[in-house]
Amino acid sequence: MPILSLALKSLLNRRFTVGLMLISIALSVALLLGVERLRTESRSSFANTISGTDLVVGARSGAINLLLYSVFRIGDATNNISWKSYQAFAAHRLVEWTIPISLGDSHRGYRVMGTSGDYFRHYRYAGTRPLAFRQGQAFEQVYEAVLGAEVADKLGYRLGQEIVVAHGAGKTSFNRHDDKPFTVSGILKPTGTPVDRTVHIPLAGIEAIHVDWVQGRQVPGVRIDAEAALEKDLTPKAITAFLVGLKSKIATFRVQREINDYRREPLQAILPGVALQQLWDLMSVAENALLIISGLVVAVGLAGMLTVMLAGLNERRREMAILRSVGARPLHILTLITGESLALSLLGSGLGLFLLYATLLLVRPVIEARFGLHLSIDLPSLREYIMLGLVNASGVLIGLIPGYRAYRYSLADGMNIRI
Amino acid sequence: MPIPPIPIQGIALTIAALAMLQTTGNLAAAEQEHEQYAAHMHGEAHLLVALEGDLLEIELDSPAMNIVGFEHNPRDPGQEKIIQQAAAQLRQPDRLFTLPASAGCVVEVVELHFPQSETPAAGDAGEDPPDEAHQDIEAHYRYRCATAAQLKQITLNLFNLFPATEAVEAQVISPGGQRQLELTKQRNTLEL
Repeated sequence: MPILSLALKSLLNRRFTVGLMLISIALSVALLLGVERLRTESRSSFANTISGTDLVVGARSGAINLLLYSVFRIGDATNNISWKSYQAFAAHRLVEWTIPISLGDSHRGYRVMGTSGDYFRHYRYAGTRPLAFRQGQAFEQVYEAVLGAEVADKLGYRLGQEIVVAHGAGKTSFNRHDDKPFTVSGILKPTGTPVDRTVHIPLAGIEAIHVDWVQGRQVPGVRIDAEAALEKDLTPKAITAFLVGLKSKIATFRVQREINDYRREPLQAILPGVALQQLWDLMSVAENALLIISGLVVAVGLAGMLTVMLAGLNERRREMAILRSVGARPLHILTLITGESLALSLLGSGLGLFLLYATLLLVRPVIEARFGLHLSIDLPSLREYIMLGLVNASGVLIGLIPGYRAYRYSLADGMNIRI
Repeated sequence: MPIPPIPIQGIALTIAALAMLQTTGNLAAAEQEHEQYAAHMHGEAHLLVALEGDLLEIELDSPAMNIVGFEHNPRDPGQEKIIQQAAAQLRQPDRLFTLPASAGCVVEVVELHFPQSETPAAGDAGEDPPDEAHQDIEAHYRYRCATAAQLKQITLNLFNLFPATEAVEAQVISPGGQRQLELTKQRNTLEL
């Protein structure tokens, strides 16, 4: 025990260099765990966004592309698909439900999605959770809108309020459908998915605001007001994509093939789970690069510790000599130095964890607002414990180097050192 | 957070989309019949596995090249024999797949679409595809399993039976969700 208190006092005596060492280890550990956290959290956030949907159907492009624009509202559709094709597959004998999706308009930076009431009945996220209303209900009239939780919170909207949809997806648009405002009929509970950042309106509503528009522009002189638009046929001619739920999952591949082989229109049906995996495969290169870099940062941190310890060794030869004189064996010296490095890496890891959680708490609202990524603050995962274990094991291994040198010194120097 | 997923593809698609807009317009593209061709890569086969309740469906889709080593119709008795043997092997799912015995799976349906073995005997040349055409073999198997919960993995013996098969891209739908994975000679077990 006395050797422990001596070691502690020795560390305290060198508190400035030791402090710097701790900070560099803590920072590198926090970075390593932070990268790992971000990776797993973004994966689970993506994976939680869509569940229970067997197929996603859109215009032919890439599976990842289709998944990103239809479900995650990232990027844009390459093409639309015709309402007739949608009708054909919605009535398919193996199909239980479909959710049509029509994108392209926005409201103050939030995407506006045209859909049907089936969206609120059949859409599932995070396992089997259905969409729930915080206030109000699904839209029933053409000019009604259901807001995602974040849209309502950020813009301070309440039930019954009127909102104007803008043409295109920009944050500021000059083309506003201000002649046909929508009334907020419902606000959804937060889901932690892109649903929170979406304004939902009926497909007929999308049609209605575009009745007097031709080729993306309002026809001059032709104004059809909100009431008159209702008289028109508001069946859409095209939608962006649709989600499919099947009666039996066994039929998934068969229906997928039927859709992909559809001769009347080039359609593409994808399995969302498979497309998500393809996305991970694509991202894993970047993820691994990030992980390797943060691993290297940890290595640099530990190398810094090694340098400081080796440099400090010369100054501590007298200390070692005194320890020897009061009865410490050379092996004690080795244990002391190696133990010091283990203690430092343990403390550094602990400090790093603290730093990680502090940062998570701080940046969580920002990341959630800016990127829609919900970071949950959980205890470290098994993988993270393994990482921490590796860091500390390397700390001990590295400590053996100055430890061995001190051991050799203490054998050779005895009490007489000539510095 | 606009992430351009795959730049090259994105550009190609944009060009394709623009071309489409200019010539026919979005909707005119629909309602016209069009020809389409599936991707075809020698050495690589596709496997679709779906498990729900007590039903297990497996579909194997492979270029004929992997199975018999040529994609034209048989030209001599030797090739004829190779094809007959391959067809016979493909009709025996028990040899193609190894399922855990405890699952108690029984083969219910075997369907084989093997264009080369189905071509009528000499004299009817009308069905003979041009030599450069690709040929695909499709096999469909359905099992009914007494205790499907025991069905944890499937081992694929395709790589031993038909060594020209290098990789199998498998898509799996199981109670655990949808997944995709690549099987090779070394990694030939599919976890469900």
